[in-house]
Amino acid sequence: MLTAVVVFIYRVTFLVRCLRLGKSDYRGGFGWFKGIEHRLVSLIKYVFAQIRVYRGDLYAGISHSLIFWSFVILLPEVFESVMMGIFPDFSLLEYAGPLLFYIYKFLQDVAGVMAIVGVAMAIYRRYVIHPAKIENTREAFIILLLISLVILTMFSFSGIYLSIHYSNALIMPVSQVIANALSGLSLNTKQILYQVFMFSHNFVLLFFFSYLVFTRKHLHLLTAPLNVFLRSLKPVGEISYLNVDSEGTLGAGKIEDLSWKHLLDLLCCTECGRCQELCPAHLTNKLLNPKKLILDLRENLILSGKAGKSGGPPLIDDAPPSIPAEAVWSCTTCAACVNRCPVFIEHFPKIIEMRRFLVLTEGKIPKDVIRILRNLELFENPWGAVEKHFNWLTEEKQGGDLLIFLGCSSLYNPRVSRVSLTLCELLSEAGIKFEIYEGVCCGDPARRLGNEYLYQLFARKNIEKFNEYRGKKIVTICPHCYNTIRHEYPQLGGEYEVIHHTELIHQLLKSDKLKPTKHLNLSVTYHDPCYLGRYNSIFEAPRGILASIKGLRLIEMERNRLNSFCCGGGGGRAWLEEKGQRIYVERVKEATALKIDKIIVACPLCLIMLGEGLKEIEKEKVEILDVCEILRKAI
Amino acid sequence: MKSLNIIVCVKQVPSPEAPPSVVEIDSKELQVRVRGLPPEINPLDGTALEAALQLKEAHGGKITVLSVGDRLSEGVLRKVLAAGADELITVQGEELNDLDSYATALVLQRAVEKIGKYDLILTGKQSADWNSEQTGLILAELLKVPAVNSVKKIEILDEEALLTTVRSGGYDVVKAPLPLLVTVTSELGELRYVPLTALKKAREKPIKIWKIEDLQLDLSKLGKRKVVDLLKPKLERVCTLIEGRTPEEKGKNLAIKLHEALRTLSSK
Repeated sequence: MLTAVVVFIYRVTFLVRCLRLGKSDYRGGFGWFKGIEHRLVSLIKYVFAQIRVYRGDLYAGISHSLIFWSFVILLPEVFESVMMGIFPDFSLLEYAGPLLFYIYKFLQDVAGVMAIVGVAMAIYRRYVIHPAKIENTREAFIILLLISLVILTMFSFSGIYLSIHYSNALIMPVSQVIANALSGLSLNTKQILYQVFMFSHNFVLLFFFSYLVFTRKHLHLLTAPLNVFLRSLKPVGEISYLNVDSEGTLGAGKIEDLSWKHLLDLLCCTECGRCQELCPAHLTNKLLNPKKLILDLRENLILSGKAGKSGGPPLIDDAPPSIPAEAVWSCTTCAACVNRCPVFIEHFPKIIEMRRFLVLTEGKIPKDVIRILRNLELFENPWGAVEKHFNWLTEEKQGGDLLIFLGCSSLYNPRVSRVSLTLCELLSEAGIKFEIYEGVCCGDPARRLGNEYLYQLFARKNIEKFNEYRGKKIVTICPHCYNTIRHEYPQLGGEYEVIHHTELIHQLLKSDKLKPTKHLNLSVTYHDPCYLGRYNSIFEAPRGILASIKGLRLIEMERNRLNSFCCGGGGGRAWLEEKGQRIYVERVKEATALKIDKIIVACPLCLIMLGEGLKEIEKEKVEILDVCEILRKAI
Repeated sequence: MKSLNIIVCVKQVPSPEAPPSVVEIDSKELQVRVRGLPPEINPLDGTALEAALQLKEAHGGKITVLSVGDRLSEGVLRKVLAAGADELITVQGEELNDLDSYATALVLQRAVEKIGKYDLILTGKQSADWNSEQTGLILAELLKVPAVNSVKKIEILDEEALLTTVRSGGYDVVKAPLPLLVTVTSELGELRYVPLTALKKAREKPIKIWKIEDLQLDLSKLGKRKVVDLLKPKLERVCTLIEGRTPEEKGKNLAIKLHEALRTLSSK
């Protein structure tokens, strides 16, 4: 017993030392207290109700919940059993009163059965179904074995207890079966067996708990609830602010350059593989796999913890436990990993920190990334373009309380500029006055490619301009601009009301200011842009617009809304060369398999990427349109 | 192998990546102006610096960057220190505006002699503004050191260098004794990406500024580049639709049109 406690404390101290390597975080001190109500709700939803464990994997969800709940129920039993080992006369009966005690004893047997069913399901899943996303490690086997032993020893312990103290306790049906089987033995033998069973149950229990802290995956029993409680309450689209004037390393080149919360993330990974199931990089065989990212970083953390401050391996290097630079550049920041993780690990924000290190501190970056950063530096847009394609006669449309922000794609990409023009036409049609601001790049590509310095330069330029238009609502056709202005500009003091054009048009339709009259006999599918859907939960406005068009049939792709599959253009990747299997090709294959006439999008980058995809698979008869463009055809 | 003292000569030029729409030609003042884009280090001189940095990484030593001109931008040139050069020396003055290649080489010669010891002088094969390909070679002549031009690979042996040069249809491998002047081509690779932290650190490094007086130069010897005329070529676009009943016929007619156009062009 004492050994178990000492071993447990020893290891926990080590793990805490690992965490203390990390930098401070906004949750430091009593920072976590802010928004405590959300934190408690998170605990209920994601720990007790296990909502995210069910998402996308019902079988695993049931199996896991059975085991989880049985353990929650069995906590008093564990306490009682260990206490009985120390004080032989201890009984919960004295403290709980008979009613509660007998109800609990019934539940205890139920929980035992739940655990056995859960473990059986888990064994079947692991060794018979064996989904690709999970690995059958020795550790997983040992844990399943230990859980079974905990339950079996519990039943035998309560069985022998019943056979000594009660003649027939229907309240504990399973234990009673064991009691009946033992009833023929002499009292003396029973007394010995009692001691043996109690000892073995307690031994397995203590072994289980002290083994837990040495495991990788199963450490999550202790860390996951903490991580859920301390989870980021900021929008997923808000990348953390970096003071580029600060001394020393910018970004993360060593494990200790990450915040302690990022490190806690690493210690609670359950290796469930949900993060990789929708990862565009992983599904097109890139070097990046979000699960492997976390597992490699975890090994890095443990090695760094053993080595002490700055003695650990580098974060970015070719072989584990470092992350290859190629993997770091493969991420599209689509946030499918973060969105699916049942324990709220933040995968891609760690990648952004590593990119910051590569760009701002080390300067070792691939040529195509250098080109984009250079374009941004010189031309204030990632296209490296000077010739503006957008052309709208602004003189007549002064005033109004809308400000259309034209980002880089609207200004410099001829195809996207047509979308912005269509928006202007629709607004004029509805009799809405607006003004136009031809901005510099919103900063999204610079920031997500790790150049925080350039991002802040651009953001400040735009903020200055927005302040001149104070009071106006900012409209943008680009979910990336939308996300950056809405969630990231406040870090630099720019707080504005921002609306995506699909929301605006949807409102105009609802208030009858726009009336689609024409019948369009077409089948379409709608592709949810990551930065609009997953990032900002705008799923229904674009669908509402499509539903307002008579004759139009919307056929959903299998991966839609929260489960939408990235076009490959986020995180600055729209301007970079994609090697090997193309993400955008995969997505247009999925779309065109539905035998549709048009693919509808609501993001300039998706428009460009998926347009490329259609060319590549030679399905150019399928047209790709922005939501507002198809509406324009119906008016 | 001994460590190397390398001098890299760099020129500040108007941004060579500026698209035609922002390049303004002032035919009266006979000047080219680029609207909205800062000047840059001549890309091939950047390549020369990259080569120097790689040699320093391999052999150790010191890199001194030397630049001559009028209105040199500290922000632009400081980048060489951030990239890893040890020292930056500029020779500045109004009288250094619009020097011809020979005059520039003269100023550089005096500056190099003032610096003193060196094993290798590296510079770009040509500058992105005037493309004369003269300065480097004249400088070598003035300094009385051997020069090898259009080099795409540099290897340093004990007291000599093994150089691979770009020639039309192939390459030469040349052996030359140190000290030596080498002009480099783009095959050697662009100057490395300079991260923000390095730029910040470079802010504290000093820049040596020499005046024309410091070099005891006879101003009258410095020839100026005389620009006679400066014009932007006229870009004409004419759209002609090619007639024909079938795609094959259209193709044939297009070929005839192209052939005729080529003939009229060459006859002019």
